[in-house]
Amino acid sequence: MTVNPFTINVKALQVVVDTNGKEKGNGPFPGDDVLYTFGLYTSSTFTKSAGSAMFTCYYGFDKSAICDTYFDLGRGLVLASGQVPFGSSRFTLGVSGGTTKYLGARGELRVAPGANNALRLDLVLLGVTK
Amino acid sequence: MTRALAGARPLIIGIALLALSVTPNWAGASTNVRQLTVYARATQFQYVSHADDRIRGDQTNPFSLDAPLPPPQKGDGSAPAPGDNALFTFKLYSDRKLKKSVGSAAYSCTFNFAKQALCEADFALNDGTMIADGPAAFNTAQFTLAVVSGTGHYLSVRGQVTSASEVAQNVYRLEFLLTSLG
Repeated sequence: MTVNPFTINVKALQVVVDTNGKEKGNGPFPGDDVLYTFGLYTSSTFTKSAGSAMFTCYYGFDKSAICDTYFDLGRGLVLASGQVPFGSSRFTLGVSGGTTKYLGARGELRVAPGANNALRLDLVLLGVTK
Repeated sequence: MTRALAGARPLIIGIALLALSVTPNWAGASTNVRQLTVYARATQFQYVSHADDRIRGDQTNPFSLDAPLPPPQKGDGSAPAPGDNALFTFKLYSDRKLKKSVGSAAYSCTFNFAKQALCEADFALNDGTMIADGPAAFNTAQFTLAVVSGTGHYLSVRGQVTSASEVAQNVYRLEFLLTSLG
């Protein structure tokens, strides 16, 4: 791509080329993307549903992805995005906004391993009424 | 190349709510929430299918999950399939008769599952821009995105925008509810 809005000196850039040609063992590579859906629950017993979540992640360099997510919590949506390293089980996303009950929300989403092969999400919200 | 993994892996969610002094009051009238209505008329549309690369992406990828998952969705034979893109542009007007132009909008949507997409929208109004993100179900006539940022008059704005179909074909009413507006 010799024409782009970011630099006029493309030749000075390092061009990433998949010389191995195999994703397994070498990937993910820049430009790869992955989509995930999740069921959300209020506890690790998975008895009470709290909604659903959708992750759309695009990989950049060094096997690190930028993920855009939204959480449908029943009373509205919460949106978050940020960097997620490949294979990492702990990461934090920034809350960028929300709808309905979560209108104007800001904050962060902390993700860590949870019980019963699940992930634990701690959603800290600012600018939201109870 | 686009890959899609459908999953039902459970997550546990904990919510901590910290109310600020300036917060929207959804239930009642609030001076902190402002409403803006514009009308959008679709001008361009481009659908991008990744079907030509889907098999390679599904079968040769480094993503292995540690929990049993349902098989990746291939789509039901009709578009859209997970990972496909849809691009739209709109002209924006301040009146229902589409006489007074106030700007333009562009939507970039990436489909995930069940014909739902994650859309990023840019609203270029005469006095600034707003960026909105969120899910849009393509089998319904109404959806709501979260307004996450802005420029100019809409600097640091937050809020939401609800898009609903008008009677006229390709015309949509956009209802903005905005907070943090100067």
